[in-house]
Amino acid sequence: MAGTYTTRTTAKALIMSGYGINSEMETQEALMRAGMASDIVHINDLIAGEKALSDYRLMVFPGGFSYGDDTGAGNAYANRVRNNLWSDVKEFLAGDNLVLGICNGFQILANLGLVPAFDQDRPREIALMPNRKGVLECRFVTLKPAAENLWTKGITHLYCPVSHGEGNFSCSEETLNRIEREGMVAFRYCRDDLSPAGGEYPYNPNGSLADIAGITSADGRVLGLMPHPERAMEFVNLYDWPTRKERLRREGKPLPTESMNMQFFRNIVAYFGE
Amino acid sequence: MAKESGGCHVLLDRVPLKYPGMAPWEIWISESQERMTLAVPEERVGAFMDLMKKREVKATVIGTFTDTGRCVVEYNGKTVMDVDLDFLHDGLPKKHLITKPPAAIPSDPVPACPDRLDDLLLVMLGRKNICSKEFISTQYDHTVQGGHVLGPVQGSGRVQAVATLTKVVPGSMKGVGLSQGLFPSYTELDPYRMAIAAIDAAIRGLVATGIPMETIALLDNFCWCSSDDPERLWQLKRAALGCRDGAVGFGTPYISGKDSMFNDFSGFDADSNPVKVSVLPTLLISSIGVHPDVATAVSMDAKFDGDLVYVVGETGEELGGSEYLAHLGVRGGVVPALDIEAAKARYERMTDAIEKKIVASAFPVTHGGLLVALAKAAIAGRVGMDLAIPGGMRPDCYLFSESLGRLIVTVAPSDREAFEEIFGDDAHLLGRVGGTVFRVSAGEKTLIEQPITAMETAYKAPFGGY
Repeated sequence: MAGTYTTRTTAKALIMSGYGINSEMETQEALMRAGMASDIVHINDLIAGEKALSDYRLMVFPGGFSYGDDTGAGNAYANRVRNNLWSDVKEFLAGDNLVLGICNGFQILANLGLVPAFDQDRPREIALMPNRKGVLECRFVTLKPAAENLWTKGITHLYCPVSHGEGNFSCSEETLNRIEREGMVAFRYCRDDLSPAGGEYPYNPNGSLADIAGITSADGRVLGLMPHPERAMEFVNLYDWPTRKERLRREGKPLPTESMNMQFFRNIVAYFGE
Repeated sequence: MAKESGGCHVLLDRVPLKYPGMAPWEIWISESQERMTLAVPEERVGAFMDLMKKREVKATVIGTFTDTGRCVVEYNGKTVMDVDLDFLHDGLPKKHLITKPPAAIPSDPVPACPDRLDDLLLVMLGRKNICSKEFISTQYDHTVQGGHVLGPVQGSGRVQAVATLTKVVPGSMKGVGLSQGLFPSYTELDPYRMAIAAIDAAIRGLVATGIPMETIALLDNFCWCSSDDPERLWQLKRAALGCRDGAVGFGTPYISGKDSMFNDFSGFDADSNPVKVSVLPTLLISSIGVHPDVATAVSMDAKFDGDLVYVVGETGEELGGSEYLAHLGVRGGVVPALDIEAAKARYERMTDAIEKKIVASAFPVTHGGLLVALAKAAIAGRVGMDLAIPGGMRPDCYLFSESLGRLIVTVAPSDREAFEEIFGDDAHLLGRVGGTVFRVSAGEKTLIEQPITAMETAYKAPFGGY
């Protein structure tokens, strides 16, 4: 089926790989379906200069378990980026480019200080703490956009899996106030009817402060998101699809092929334009 | 690997060790995990080692494959082993083992059937082999790679299914189904039927999602006790015969398997008396099959008010090794037997019905029998059911019998005719989906009347705190 999707932008995505990241392929597939080509690149090939970050417009840190989550999820991979690629990354951030971190990628961004990044120093101001339940949680969650920005355009809700042990969004009250005030909360966990989760499990699956599932950087060009829209690209990936299918069949309606989560990737591609 | 080339020459001192001081023989037979061996052509070793270095993977050349017909092992320049390859692979003398059937287990009488079965239903739903273990399923990442179609937990009531379905090629609508069958409680009574039961359940779990039998393959995993014990070995022999007859009968080949023998403990009890404890002889049959189009796949949860509830297949008084008798503490009984040809014909009809999109939900009947399967489908859909069971058998025996080859199916009223045309006499209409109460009656008599919420609580309570 590769090649049956139309490329809608000349901008290209770099999907980071290596050391236990494991969601490169579905991330690439989601971007391809939305119209964006990408390369999956091992971080060591970037460090060795075999590939250059400057050839890309979108940098994605996908999900996984980099370095086995030892010393804290995302910490070691973030150090590898900081110690070897930091000037390239800073240059990339200064341009009209986007950075996306999903799950382990969000944990990496948090450790690097790419979110919330109130200023150019990018200190580490947020943490994805261990889930309140204390164990990895793999289940579907409903997300509602909390800001109007390039990432959330046209999205009423997302319905996709979380699968993490450390996703409990935490920060100081001062940081939280600033994130809220500046409209940097991109998505919040909510109930099926899109009303606030109010911290209640399982709607908020990990105990995140203010039901925060994802935030952007202050300049809006970096997004960190714990849930995985790339894992539910199709209608048949959705947890409740069998019931929806049966209802649609009885109403004589056709089944959708893709899910609502694809809008998220379309937004990214639309940002770059043709 | 050396068998393929006809020999090998290994330099043991090159093998990286986790800690110093290991004797050569310890290095040679250590089963340390997370290692793998590869054969790389000599001219590609440079390129291979470069790639390993770039990916920070520790790789070491530890020797060469040869065609000398011998396995030669060196340690610090000294040959510590030089053995004929044929002897290494086939040199073990054949051991003569003896089997002996164990004494038959007597069958205790089953206490009289209670007037109402409400309490029994709730207790059965809470049994450890039946209740929800969702806290384990949700700690396992079953959505990675974006292929999730039917997960380990299904329906708004979140009940554990017996089969999962995953898309593995993004651009294809085909999916891979996985299921399993496991009935160790049958082994002591009838190891042959135990094996057939495991095979049947593993196949039936996949068939219920819409996977055709001809795509199904099996794995057999034995966890057994001492084969030096003639009675244990007899059980193993019977189980192996069941494995053969089941797989040949269904036309489902084994693609892999594994065994773990001698799971016995010999020691002393608190009063210093010698004791021997052996694992219950256990056979896990895993199944894998290919779904032709996952958009037609069927989940286990009952869906809409008014849908018809059927059991497909025949129920006999087969309670030996069942969850019900275990609950009652009753020994013995008849272990379920299977007419494989009849089951095959039924499963083919099931595939046909799912392909025609006239099945709203399907779920195999296994541990805990028909009542537990019906309850699980209802809890999963968070919908009630109104069911009437036929006479002719004690209600508890009918509802808790673990007869093989059966599926419960819900069907939209508009599909009734098409469904009954496919299954004929093999489909037994039990009642309808609807409301918030699960009701079972026999004739004029109400046996069970329970709110679905109470059943969900009973099903989830045992491990609810995890």
